[in-house]
Amino acid sequence: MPELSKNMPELSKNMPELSKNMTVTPHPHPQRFAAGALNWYGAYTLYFKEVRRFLKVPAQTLIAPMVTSLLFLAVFSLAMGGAGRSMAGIPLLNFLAPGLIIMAMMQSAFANASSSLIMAKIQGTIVDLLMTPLGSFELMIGYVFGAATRGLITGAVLLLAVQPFVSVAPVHIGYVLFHAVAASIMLALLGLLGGLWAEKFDHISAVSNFVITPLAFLSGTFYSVDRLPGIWHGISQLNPFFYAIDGFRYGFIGRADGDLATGVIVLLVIDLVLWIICHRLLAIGYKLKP
Amino acid sequence: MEQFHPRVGNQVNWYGLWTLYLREVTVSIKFAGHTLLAPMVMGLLFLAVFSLALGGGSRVVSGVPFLVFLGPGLVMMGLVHAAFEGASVSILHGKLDGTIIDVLMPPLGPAEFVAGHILGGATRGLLVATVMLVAMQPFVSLIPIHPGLVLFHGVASALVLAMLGLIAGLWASKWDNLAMINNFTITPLAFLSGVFYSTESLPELWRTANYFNPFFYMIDGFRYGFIGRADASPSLGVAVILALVMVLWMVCHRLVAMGYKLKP
Repeated sequence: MPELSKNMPELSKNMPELSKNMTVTPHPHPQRFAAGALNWYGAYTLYFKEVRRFLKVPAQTLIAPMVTSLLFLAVFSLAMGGAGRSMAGIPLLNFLAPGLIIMAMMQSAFANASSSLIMAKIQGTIVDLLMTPLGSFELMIGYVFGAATRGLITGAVLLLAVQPFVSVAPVHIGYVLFHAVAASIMLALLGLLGGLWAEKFDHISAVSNFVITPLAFLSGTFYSVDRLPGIWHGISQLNPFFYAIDGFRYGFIGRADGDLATGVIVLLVIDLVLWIICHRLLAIGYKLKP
Repeated sequence: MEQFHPRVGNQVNWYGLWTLYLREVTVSIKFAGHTLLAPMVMGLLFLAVFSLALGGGSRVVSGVPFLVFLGPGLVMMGLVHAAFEGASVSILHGKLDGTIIDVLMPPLGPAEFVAGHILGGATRGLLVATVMLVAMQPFVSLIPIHPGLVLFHGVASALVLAMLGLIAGLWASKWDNLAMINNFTITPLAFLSGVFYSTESLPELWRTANYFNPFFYMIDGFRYGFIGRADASPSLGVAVILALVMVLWMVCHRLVAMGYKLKP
């Protein structure tokens, strides 16, 4: 430091000369980065950055949800009388496991998109994204698919982790994949929305604590909604998380509480609507650009 | 200029201690949405899931309806998490932001430093427990039978967890470290300590393992204060927790006195 300041006067003395000699030739017409219709390379780079971000801290992003889900599995089976009990006609653990897996996936996808965005906003690194030749569509691809990837990897890890305790295998693999992907994308979009709206970490944890967790908990992760009394049963049908969990579970146990076709349509429509909203918000720079 | 005098004897800087304590409590209250309401919602969600859906209302555990059994356990779980978080986050935040210097520079000795932080953390835990107890009343009536035991277990457990939080906060050098302790020790120990089930229904090996889990005594004793029935002997629980309080106090005091990860 002292050396630096010693050189400073000299430096500043030379500055006027420097700027006098410098010929500034601004580009006549700032051009759009010639990347074609879609900047695939940029979108891929952002996606890759998002994936690397969570893979760098696997203890927090992959192992922690695994431990939590295994704990839920242990606690619920012990508390509810264990292996002997059944839910919706199948053993309790086989019923619980798919629900816990997709709940963890959804929470991971939400956490990834929202925390990545809010951190970038708070630390100011968001400018690194806004400056690059990435349009709102490319930003969407990077953030949403990055977060959804975390959800899917979490799901895969969990699926393996529960095997020693309960054997769950997909019966209808198409349903499993569709609901896993659609739910991860839905929560990634919600996370993106939350991250855009939030101005500090508190806001994100408020959304997570007061919206996402209750919706996930009360969506039939732990029980068959058929058991619920009248009004609750009706309310459950309005919860999009219910369709994600119900359809995903159908892929494993071949039995659903709700109508599967309705579920597929609801998820597709919600994904589409959220995608359009997020795209629009990014395009107008909502809470991103001054 | 007058000479600086070191403090003589065992005087306590009550005013400084009070100020530090007040700062800690103010943080908890200022962010009440995150510190008080979130655990409350979590507790109610667990209650709802168990009662609405699993037919918990009609089940009987340890001679009481399942919800009456579950309620105190959930309150205690909220309490231990809050107390741990209160103390650990405060220390780590100070370290990362550099504001810890504001606590190290004033005339606060290690005892006052530790006491201010852990009483602050414990207060958060007790506030959470109170809020949860009140919030649960519409769904399940929880009336202490032995208020003394409830109070003892509430306060002592909050102190234990606040001290563990203080140690964790001192040890951690980034948020990841703290999240790791929380995810891999505090949460599993709390979950598996008999919040959701009576340990009597466990297989022999698990039940024995539980006796080495301090959280088991906290929850068991706290619940005893409400339902008058415990899995372990209540006096054993009191002894274990008191011993923990004393040992942890000495550890905390020593760490802060030598400036472990606090002073260069």
